[in-house]
Amino acid sequence: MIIDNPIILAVDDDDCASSLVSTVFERAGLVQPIQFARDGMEAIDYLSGTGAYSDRVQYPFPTIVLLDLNMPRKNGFEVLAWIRQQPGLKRLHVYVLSSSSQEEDIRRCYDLGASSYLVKPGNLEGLMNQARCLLAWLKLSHISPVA
Amino acid sequence: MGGTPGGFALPDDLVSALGDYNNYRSGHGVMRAKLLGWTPNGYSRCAGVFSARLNSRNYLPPFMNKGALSVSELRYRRLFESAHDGILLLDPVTRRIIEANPFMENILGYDRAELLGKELFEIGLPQNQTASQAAFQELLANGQIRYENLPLQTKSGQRVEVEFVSNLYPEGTQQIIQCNVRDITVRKQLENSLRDADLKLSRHAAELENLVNVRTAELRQSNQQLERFIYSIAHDLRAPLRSMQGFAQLLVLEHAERLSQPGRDCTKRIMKAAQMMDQLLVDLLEFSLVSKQEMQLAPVALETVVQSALTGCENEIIESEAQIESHSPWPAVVAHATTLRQVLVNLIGNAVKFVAGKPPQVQLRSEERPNGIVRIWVEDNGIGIPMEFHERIFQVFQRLHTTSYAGTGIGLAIVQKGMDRMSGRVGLDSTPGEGSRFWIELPKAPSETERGSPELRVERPEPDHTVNPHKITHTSSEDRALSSRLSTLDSRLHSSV
Repeated sequence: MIIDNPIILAVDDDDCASSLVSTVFERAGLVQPIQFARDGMEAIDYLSGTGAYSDRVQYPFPTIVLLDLNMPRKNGFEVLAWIRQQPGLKRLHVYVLSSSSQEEDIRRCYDLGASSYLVKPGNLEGLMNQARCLLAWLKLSHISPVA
Repeated sequence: MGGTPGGFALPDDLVSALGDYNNYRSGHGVMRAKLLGWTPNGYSRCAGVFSARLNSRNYLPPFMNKGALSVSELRYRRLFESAHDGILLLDPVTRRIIEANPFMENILGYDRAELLGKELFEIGLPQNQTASQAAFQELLANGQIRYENLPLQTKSGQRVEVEFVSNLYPEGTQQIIQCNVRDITVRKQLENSLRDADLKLSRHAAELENLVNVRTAELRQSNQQLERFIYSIAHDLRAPLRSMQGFAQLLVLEHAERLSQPGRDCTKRIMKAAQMMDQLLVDLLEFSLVSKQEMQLAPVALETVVQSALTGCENEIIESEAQIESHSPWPAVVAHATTLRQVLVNLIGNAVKFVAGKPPQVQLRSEERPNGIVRIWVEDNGIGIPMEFHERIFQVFQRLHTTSYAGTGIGLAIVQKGMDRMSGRVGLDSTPGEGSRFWIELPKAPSETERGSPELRVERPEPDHTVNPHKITHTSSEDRALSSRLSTLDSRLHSSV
């Protein structure tokens, strides 16, 4: 499947952070509006199409997941582990986007099968750069691993 | 004038007895036995005759006349009677007591009459006949027998402890046994109470040690909790701060033309304050990471770490137009590479920061000190630090300058913490106006030939990614300081209870 217009699911309990991510990706050229989940449970519901999320027109299946680590109910590690256990999701692009730069967290995420680990930048320029690079990379790669 | 000893009459004075005795030399053994048996009430006299016999047989010098002998006899008999050791004289043939001094009566409670003529085992010395015979055999064979600590019973059944020494002395063709008996009951009691006190003391010391360990563990735990708390606070505060910064920047970037000048100023101030707060949180995070990071000490190539630290300070160096000179040689030290790099980054950052109106000049060098210690100097030409602040600047949030120099007051605390954790030291020489010379000290790593094994090569770390396979266990100086403070505290508590 060629990726023209990637769909991003941002999983973060911090509304402000999500909103900023959304704005930045928009500025960086993202066409499809970003989808949100506010904690790990919601992310799992979204990905498995539970309840309201069964409506894939309103809640399209994401090309990539931006996953925060520190969240209530289910944290990023648990979501990551769950995703890698689902036959249909085990190759889904999951980018951990966390403020933690601790080696322990980074290693654990890769061990659990993260596609990449990005440390949340401290300023807008950093975030903007990340968004641009990510979109450019998705464009370059062309093929979604999920299909 | 009395009769002759052979006629069983006591002489009136010793001299005549001696004279008589000399005439009856061959019969002296009989004479002595009879005299002793005969005159239980004539104690001193009898012993006097006995002693005189000793002298006359072997030791009387040719120049000593009879008067001198009498004086000598009196002198030694005084010693015998006033001695505070029990003294017994025994016949080696019959094994019976032929003389006992007054102190012997004191020790065992038998009076002299009861003692004379008895064998030692009869007065419990030693406690049975078989042992007594064995002891006699030993004495006759070796000439001496000695018991450091002999428990005895007195006549009235009380327990005493004595030191018992028995010697066999020749007296011409005959022999005599002299026993010295020293009452060591009191000494033993003292020794026992001393031992008890020692035991009690060491029990107390162990309890105290244990208490110190428990409290140290508690304190360490609460310290760790505090450090985790600092980390999570700093970490969590950064999240909303990032949003504040981001949106403020968006405001400036995209809506600046719709803001008035004062509105734009406000936004700039928000951004500046947010940036400052972010730096504070970043430094705090760094500080707490130095505290909680696992320290595995290993040989580290200093040159690599210094280079890496200089790269880490690149921005500050370029901004301040600082001139940095790094002087080799750089020996290998025992350290934790990541922490050492952090320490150096903070020292160099500090050195280029506090300079008034001129480009900073920083010298980096190493110095080998006694006892295998390497000192690393970071010298600047900055404003310097007054002596009274030399200790305080290593504490968290201690800043000497308000607005003229940027800083969070955490940098040198990271340096101190990092050196503590690596069991190293930090210090400075500084004179206001003449710059500061900060130093850190670490043990020098053994050279590759000294280490021998190829596995123990000097680590040349990549910046920020350090895995040290060579673990060196150590107690941090912080822990030691803590336990010593605790033990002082405990002893104070103890003495006040």
